Amino acid sequence: MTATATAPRPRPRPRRQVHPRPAARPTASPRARLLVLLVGMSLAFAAVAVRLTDIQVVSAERYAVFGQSQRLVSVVLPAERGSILDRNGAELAISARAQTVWANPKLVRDPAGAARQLAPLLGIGEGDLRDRLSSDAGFVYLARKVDDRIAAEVKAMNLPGVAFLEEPRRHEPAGSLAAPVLGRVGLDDEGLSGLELLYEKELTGQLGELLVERDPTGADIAAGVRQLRPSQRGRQVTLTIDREMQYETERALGAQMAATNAKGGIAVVMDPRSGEILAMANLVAGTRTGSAPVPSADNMAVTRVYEPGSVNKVITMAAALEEGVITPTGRLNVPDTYKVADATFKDDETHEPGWWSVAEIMSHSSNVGTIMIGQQLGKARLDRYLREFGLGTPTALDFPGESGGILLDPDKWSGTSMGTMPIGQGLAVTALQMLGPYNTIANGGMSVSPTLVRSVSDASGKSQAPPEPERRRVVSPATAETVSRLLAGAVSEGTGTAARIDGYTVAGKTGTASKAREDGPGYAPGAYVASFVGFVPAEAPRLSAIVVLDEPTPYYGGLVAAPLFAELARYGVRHFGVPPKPPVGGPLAPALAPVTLGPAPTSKP
Amino acid sequence: MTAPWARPRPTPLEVPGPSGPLSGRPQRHLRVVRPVHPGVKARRRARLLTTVLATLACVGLFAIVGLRVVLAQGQAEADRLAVQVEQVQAEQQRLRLLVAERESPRVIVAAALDRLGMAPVGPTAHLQAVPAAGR
Repeated sequence: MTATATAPRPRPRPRRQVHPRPAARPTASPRARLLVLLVGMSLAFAAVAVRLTDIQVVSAERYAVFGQSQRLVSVVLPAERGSILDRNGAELAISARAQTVWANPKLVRDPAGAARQLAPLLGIGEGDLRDRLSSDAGFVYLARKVDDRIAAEVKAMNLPGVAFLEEPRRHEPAGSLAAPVLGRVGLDDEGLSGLELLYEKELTGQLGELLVERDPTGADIAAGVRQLRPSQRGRQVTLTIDREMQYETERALGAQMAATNAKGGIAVVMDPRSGEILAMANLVAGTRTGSAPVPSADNMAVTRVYEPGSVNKVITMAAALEEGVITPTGRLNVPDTYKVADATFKDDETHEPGWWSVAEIMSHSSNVGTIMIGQQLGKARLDRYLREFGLGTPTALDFPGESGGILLDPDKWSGTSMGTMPIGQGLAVTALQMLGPYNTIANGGMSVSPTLVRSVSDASGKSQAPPEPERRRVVSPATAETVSRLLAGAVSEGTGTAARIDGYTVAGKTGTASKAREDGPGYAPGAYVASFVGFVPAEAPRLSAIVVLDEPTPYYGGLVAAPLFAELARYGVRHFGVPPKPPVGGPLAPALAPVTLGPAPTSKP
Repeated sequence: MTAPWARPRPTPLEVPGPSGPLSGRPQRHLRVVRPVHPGVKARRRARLLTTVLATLACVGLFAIVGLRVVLAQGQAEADRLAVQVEQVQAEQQRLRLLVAERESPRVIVAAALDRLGMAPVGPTAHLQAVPAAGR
């Protein structure tokens, strides 16, 4: 069969000009090529294997650590500071969580606007805030440990780059109560003063740590590493302070300061048997005229020294009785004035020379009579007893900034020192030091070191009592009893009658001393320190107290300090349940019965 | 064109059956069985084992995934509870502080004087005990 139609033949392409190809190079054989490829691949695999071995075997640990460091995040868990409690477990200082406002300036879009919004709320200058929010840092504090209300308001603003952090914050639930004693803590909860500083080691907790594995987005990896070392709260310090007694002491002291226009005031209440301090008040006048007294910056009862004046006469009397220089029944011819070296001393009230008993010298707070007794005692013995009673050295409290007072060595005494020292001039004491001799007398001649802390306990309740207070005999019980009677006489019919309280026998002594100048030697004209020290009940002392007023008006201790002592003692005996003296041999109430002066019952008449 | 040519097929041999007559030889009770290769059983066993292992691996993997999900859920729950504990502790601290503040003498005295109209107690009165007449 023949084809009937034929397809049109394609046109022939125009022939291109063919250039002559260069001569082909001789090519390797396929076998050689394969061999080269094989060698190349082998080398590549070998390199990978070497690297793999290095990563997985040789340097495995290093890479594992490196990887972990990228994933593991350590979160420091803050530790709460231990609480400070009063003797009955009432909280005086506790730590609670507070919000800290911080910012990452890199994430803050409008620093000026944010600063404008935050400034009135945080109480920080707008310019200061703007500078912080515009800095190059990745973290800046805006306000630390703010109130919950402020934190809530800042949160509500929802400002970009502003975040919050929880930190423990110290609170004093009772306000400024015992503030100078408790002390202060810094912004990082570290003790700066007072008991907060003294017991810093015990109160500070141990920081905790949370080690957690997180993915690149910051989320916790569920099955990743999660190690928690919880923080440990600081130990709890229980004081000997009684919150109610402390409050009443501060209130009464403040009221008396306001009434007498005093510049400052100190009051300490103790249990003389145990040396426990029940209240320790330190106030200074407010900065504005007529404003209420405020707590002092430091614990003046142990940091400030002053010339004790007549309250120091108890040491002279006790030493003289103990050494047999005088007897309770002995009498001295006491003139109105008395010259020692180039100084003339006189009694506060002019009187005719006369034979005064020791009790009369004490109850009338005779400077001349006491100086005469001191001279009979002699320099060495007087100095020894001053030191034995605790003057010249800090107390066992070891309180931060505590002063040991000023007591010159006998070889540095001047000619008039034998006139000044017996009556409490020419030496300086702290209020707590001056309370010590009265506690010794109240304790039957046994000195008991003061203490502020009852126990230190950890979170499990395991408590550790501080070392027992040091007990040391200073004078015999007989001497102590005699001096106690002399002090009771000074209150019942001497200069301290304003310290009497119904139902109890009060023993104590007034003091009115010139105030030393702060800008040089000598005394400030018209400036006095008024004080009263004593204990109650005189027969079986349960409470002792010292009251010191700085530059009151009037300035006599018997007029301004003794009534305050009575107020504190009255509250104290009721608060601590001290029973009044039972009536003996008749219907007279104890305070109405005159205190018999003169010889002690154990002494011969 | 030439017609296709096919090779003639060979005639299959007649294989006498086991029971067929064989030139008078005595009948042997033998039969032809399918030849069994020694590796077949092992292969079957291996196949079975592979299947079981694969199934187990799948189940195991699913179990691990499930376990991780449970873990993640548990972790999320633990985190939620931790946050709750923190919140409750913070609240407890706040209340503790509040109670301590309310118990402080300053607040009590202020409330007694200002809100309740109470007055500070005066000095304690001591009565004289008068002995009965004739005793």
